[in-house]
Amino acid sequence: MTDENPSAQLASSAQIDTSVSHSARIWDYWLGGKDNYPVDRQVGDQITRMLPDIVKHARADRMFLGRAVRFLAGEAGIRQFLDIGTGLPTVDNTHEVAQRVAPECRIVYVDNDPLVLVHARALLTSTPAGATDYLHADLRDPGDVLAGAARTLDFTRPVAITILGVLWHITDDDEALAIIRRLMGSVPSGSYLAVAQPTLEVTGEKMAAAIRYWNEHGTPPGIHRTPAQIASLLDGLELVEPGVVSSTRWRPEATPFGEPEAIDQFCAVARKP
Amino acid sequence: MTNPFWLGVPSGMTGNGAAGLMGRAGATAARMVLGTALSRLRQGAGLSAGQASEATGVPPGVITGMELGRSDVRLWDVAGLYSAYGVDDVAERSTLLGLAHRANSTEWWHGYRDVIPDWFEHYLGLEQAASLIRLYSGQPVPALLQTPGYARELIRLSHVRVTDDELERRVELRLRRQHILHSDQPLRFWVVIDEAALRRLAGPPSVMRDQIRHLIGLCDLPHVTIRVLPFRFGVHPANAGGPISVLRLPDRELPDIAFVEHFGGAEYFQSRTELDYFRHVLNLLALQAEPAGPVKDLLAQVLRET
Repeated sequence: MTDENPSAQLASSAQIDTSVSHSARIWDYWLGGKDNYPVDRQVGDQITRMLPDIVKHARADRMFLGRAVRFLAGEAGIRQFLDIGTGLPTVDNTHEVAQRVAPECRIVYVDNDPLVLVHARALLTSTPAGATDYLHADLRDPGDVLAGAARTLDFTRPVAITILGVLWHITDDDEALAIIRRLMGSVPSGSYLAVAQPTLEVTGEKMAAAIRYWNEHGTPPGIHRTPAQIASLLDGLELVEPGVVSSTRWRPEATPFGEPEAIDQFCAVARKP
Repeated sequence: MTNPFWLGVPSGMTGNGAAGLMGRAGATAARMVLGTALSRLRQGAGLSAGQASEATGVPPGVITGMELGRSDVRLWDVAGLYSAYGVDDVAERSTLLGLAHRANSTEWWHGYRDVIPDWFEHYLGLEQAASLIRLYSGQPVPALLQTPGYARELIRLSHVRVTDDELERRVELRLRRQHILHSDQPLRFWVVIDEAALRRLAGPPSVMRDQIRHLIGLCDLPHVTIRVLPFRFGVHPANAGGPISVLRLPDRELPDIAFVEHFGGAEYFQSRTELDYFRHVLNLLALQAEPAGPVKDLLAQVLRET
C-alpha cells in the first residue's frame, strides 16, 4: 500500500460514501477526531483556509452542548434527552454529561447517517442506572423520530430536545418551524429545546463563502440564519437567559479575561411554558 | 520552539508517576509519546534519520524504531539525539528524559517474556494502554474474550510440545490481559466476530458452550460491544487475512495503530493511508454486523445449537 492515491482503496458502500464529505465526519475532523475520511480532510482544510475560525466553532459548539446539558440535567432537573443529529462520538457526549449530573438520565440519540449510528451504538453506552437508545431517523420526519424515541422516553414527563449540528440542514424556515412545533407539541410543559445555527453576524462574507463551498462539496446542504430568524423558530417558547447569543457567550464559565470572543455559531435554550 | 504538544501532556504521562493513565498506560504510552516527539524534533531540525545517525552514532534503525515507539529506549541515545536536535532548554530536556525513563519502566508482563513472541510484545503494550480497540476476527474468539478452557484448547493446537507448566503460564497471561476490561477506567472494546468463530469447536462442545455463555455475560459490560457477522453475508476484504485491530491510545495526539495478525506473525500499520483503509474496513464490517435483534439472542441460538 502506498501513500500516493489516498482514496483508491476506500470503496464506497451503500452506507458509506467515501467520495463526498459528510457533515458528521468533517465535524469529527475539526474536533481532532480520527474517524473521518480523506475527502473530509480535503474539504475541511479548504474551509479552514476560507474561515480559519471553523475549528474554534466546532469546539465552541461542543462546549455549548456540555454547558446546556449540564444546565438541563442540573438546574432544570431534566432526566430525559432527545439528541437529534448525534454526530460521531467524541469527548463529553450528551449522555456522559447528563449522567455525570444524574446517572439515571435516559438519552435517545438520533441520526440519519448509518456510520454515525453504528459508532453511537457501540461507543455511546449508558451507565447501568440510566438508558441510551439509538434511532436511525431523519429530523425531517419528526413523527418517525417521536415514535422511535417513545420506546425509551416517557413523553408524559419533561424532555430536553437538542438540535445542534443539524438545524442548519433544514434549509426552509417554514419546514424548520413546523418540525420544531411538532416536536415541542409532543412533550409536556417544562420541556426544553436547545438549538445551534451558523450565522453571518461575526465573520460575514467569510462564513457565507464557506457555506457556499460546503454546499458544492459536502452533504447535506446547509444555510445561515440571522439571530432574529433563530428566535422566530422558537416562537411560543420561553427563551432561557441570555437568549439567542453566540455559542461562546451562552452562560460561559467565569474567566479572568472578560467575555469570550463571539463566534458565528449562535445558540439558544428555550422552555415550553 | 513554540509549545510542542508533548510538553502539554498531562502529568500522568511525563510527571512522577501520577495514577490515572500511568496505572495502565505505563511504558508503552510513554514510548509512543516519546517517539512522536523525537520524530517531530528531528524533522524540525531538518535532519533525515541517516543524518541524525551520523551526528550521534545512534544506528538509523534504532532512531526509526524509537520514533515508532517499538525499540527499547537507551537514555544515552536519547540525550545525544536531543543535543543533535538542539533541545537545550533544561526543563524541556528533563521532561523528555523523564519520558524516556518511563518508557523503560517494567511492565507486568515482562515476567512472561519467555512465552511472548517478539512480534507480539509491542501489541501487548499497546493493548494494555489503549482506550479503544476495534477488532475483527474471523477465527478464533478474540483473546480478551476467551475462557480459560477455550484458551487452553487453542494454545495446545499452536504449541504441540507445550509442557503443562508452560500451558498454564500461557493461559494465565491471557487471563491477566483481560483485566483491562474490568479496571476503573476500562478499555472500550468493540469487536466484530465472524459467525464461524462461534460455530467452530475448540475442544469438546462443553468448552464451546462455556465460551458462548461467557460472551453472553460480557455483552452486559457497557464498554464491551460484541457484534456477530452472520454467514448470510458473503466474503469481504477482511476474509483475506487474520484478525485486524485498530488501537487508540488515551493521548488524543497520538495516531491510531493497526495490527494485522497472520499465521506465525503480525504486521503493524501506522501511516494515515493505511489507517484510513483499516478503519474503513472495520466500519464496513461493523455496518454489516449491525444486529437485527439483540446480539444476546443470536448467541443464545448458537448456544442451543452447539
